[in-house]
Amino acid sequence: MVHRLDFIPRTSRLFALTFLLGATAAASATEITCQQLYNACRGHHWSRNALARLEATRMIPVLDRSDSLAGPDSNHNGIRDDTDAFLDGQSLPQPRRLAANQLARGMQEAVVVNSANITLTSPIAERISKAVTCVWARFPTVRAVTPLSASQMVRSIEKFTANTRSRVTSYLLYNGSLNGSVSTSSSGDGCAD
Amino acid sequence: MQIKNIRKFICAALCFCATTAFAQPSVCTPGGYVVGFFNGVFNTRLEADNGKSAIAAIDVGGSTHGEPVKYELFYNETGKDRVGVTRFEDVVEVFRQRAAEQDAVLGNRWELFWETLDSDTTDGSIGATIATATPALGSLLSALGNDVLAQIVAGLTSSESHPPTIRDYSAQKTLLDAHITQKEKIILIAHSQGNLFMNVAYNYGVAKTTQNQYSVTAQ
Repeated sequence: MVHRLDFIPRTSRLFALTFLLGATAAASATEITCQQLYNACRGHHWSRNALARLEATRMIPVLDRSDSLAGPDSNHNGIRDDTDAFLDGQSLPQPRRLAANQLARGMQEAVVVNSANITLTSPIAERISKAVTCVWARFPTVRAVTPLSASQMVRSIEKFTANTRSRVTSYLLYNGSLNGSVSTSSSGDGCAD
Repeated sequence: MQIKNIRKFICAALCFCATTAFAQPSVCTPGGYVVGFFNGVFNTRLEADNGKSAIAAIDVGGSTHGEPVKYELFYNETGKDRVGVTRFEDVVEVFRQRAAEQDAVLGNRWELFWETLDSDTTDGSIGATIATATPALGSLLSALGNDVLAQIVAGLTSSESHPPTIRDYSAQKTLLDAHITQKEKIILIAHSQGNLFMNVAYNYGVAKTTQNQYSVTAQ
């Protein structure tokens, strides 16, 4: 592939050449892979494009990556819009959707609480425990691609909700506060709806 | 976790205690059964609850030999290192650094952090989907997984060097005391690092019970 570089000032081109030579020398010295060097020079366009294609075809979910812990919840149902969209895409029967909603609301609370205060986090943990019990009561217990099993649904909601650095940090604060806690069997199937 | 092995153990443990109940009525009556689950390394509370539910889903019918069976989680969060940083945060930092080095686009997708932590490469996982569609990214994810795994092993080694004491877990101690007082038959199951915590709970409880009331297993 031929690139026209006339629009780049000569000094910049010399600087870039020096940088590339230096980077190549560093690569051989520290065994940086060609892929890593390629990534560094191309600004990750290839991987960004590849992931964008997967998102466009819905092979992987499109998630909110804003700085906000809560993220957008346009219908105010306590579930982030992207998680709602993921659940919509699963075409779940109503009882399963209600169970998934219950867990998604709990996870959203766990991420947003942003506190290690056990008096705040413990009630959330109790709600989540019940929601997990509910999911296991209504989803298949055997691992499958479609429909998702109970365990897969639980893990999916967790990873999609705690999907940015700040959300992970807040979520770990919540988990740390629960170190040494107990979760007892809930009476019934744990389902709120 | 080896669910089949746990199923065998639970059945064996329940049968054993139920059998001995006839010989020693004072030991195994009237409280029913409690299955306590100690989660593994780097589990969130949600994942630990998920594990407890997986055990509960093993069908013993909610009761055995006419006595109820209930399931409880004894949660541990892997703990902190000597300078007060949680070992979970250490793994987060490894993911952040290595993902940024390998491909900043991956490092912005923290849902992959959870899959990496679980070594989840099953069909339908995001990582597997990405790897299938773009093998080069799959290779980067695999390398990232190896780095995270190395940090997990380091964290596990560190936690083994500084095992917990029962005083660290007053809520769990209180719950064990309640079960022992009510003469419930207690079966403790630990996964991975949960053994460290289960051993502490076992040593605490075994001094207050007979062998027929208290059983443990490690997976």
